[in-house]
Amino acid sequence: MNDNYDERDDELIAMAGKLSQEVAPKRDLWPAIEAVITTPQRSRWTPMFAQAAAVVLLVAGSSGVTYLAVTEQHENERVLTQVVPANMLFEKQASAANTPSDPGFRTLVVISRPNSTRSSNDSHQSRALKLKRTCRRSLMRLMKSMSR
Amino acid sequence: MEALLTTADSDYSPQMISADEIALSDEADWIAQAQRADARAFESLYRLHIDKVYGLCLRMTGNVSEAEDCAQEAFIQVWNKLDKFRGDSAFSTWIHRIAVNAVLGRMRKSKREHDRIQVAAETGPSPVAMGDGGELRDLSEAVDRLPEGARHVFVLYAVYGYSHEEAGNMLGIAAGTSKAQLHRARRLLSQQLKQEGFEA
Repeated sequence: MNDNYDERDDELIAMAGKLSQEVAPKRDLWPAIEAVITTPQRSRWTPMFAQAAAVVLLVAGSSGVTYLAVTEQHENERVLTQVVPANMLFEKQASAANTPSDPGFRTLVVISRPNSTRSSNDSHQSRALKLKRTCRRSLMRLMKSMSR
Repeated sequence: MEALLTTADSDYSPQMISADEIALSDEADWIAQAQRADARAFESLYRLHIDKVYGLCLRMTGNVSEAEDCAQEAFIQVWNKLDKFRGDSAFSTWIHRIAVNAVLGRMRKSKREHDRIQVAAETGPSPVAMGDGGELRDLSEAVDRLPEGARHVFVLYAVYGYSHEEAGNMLGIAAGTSKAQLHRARRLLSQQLKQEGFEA
């Protein structure tokens, strides 16, 4: 099998070729090998399924938390819009306020903004639009009255 | 050794079939059965090849317990990879390759080469010398004292007759590196044997 016959001529190499290639082990190694190969091994898929299940649980868990957080936020906004009828408040504030820097005026603007941008629910969106229109109309009325 | 067997040919003429041919035929059957998870057939393969595999592991590690562990590991890997054996090469060559990988993997893991040499020196005559007498025993012990890389190449090339390309493939090194390691091994062996008054 060797490819370099010059080296094969070397006496050392030639002697090494006479060394015994086969050596019997002092003890029988088969029982230990048999014990390993006949033991049913755990399926390679088990840890993969466990990992997949963990990922699904993680995604589902985080989605649930996000859903709850968003729902709660919407609930707060709904409560806010119900408790504070902007139209009435705005009209009240507008009649009371002499200048746009009035605290009542600023509060009204803050209330109206989240409803127009964040809502995803249809009814909530329509309610927000309605509120927005009302606010705009009231604001126009206020501006007109101020210009006079 | 040859056996005179009568075969069921049409002319009923007796044919001489060598023991090697019988062994090869048996080996092929055992491989096929072992590939179908027959542990008994695999045991027959083990009995057929253990001396060669253990001998290789012993010469490469120079330590009885490590050689036993490597041989066991090699046969477990053979069992696990049996379905990948397609018969492109001889089964013995395939097992040898796995045994060499087992030895290299174990050595990489343990990184106890220095300790191994110390243990081998403390345990008296080299275990590799078993079965070799006289001058061969001296050579065997000198081989065992070689550094890892040089010893592996020397064992595969000089003792088992693999080419530099084959040895390089098994050891994961280039053929040129294998030649360089062989040169180093020869130089070190000559020095060692000269010190011991052995004339090669």
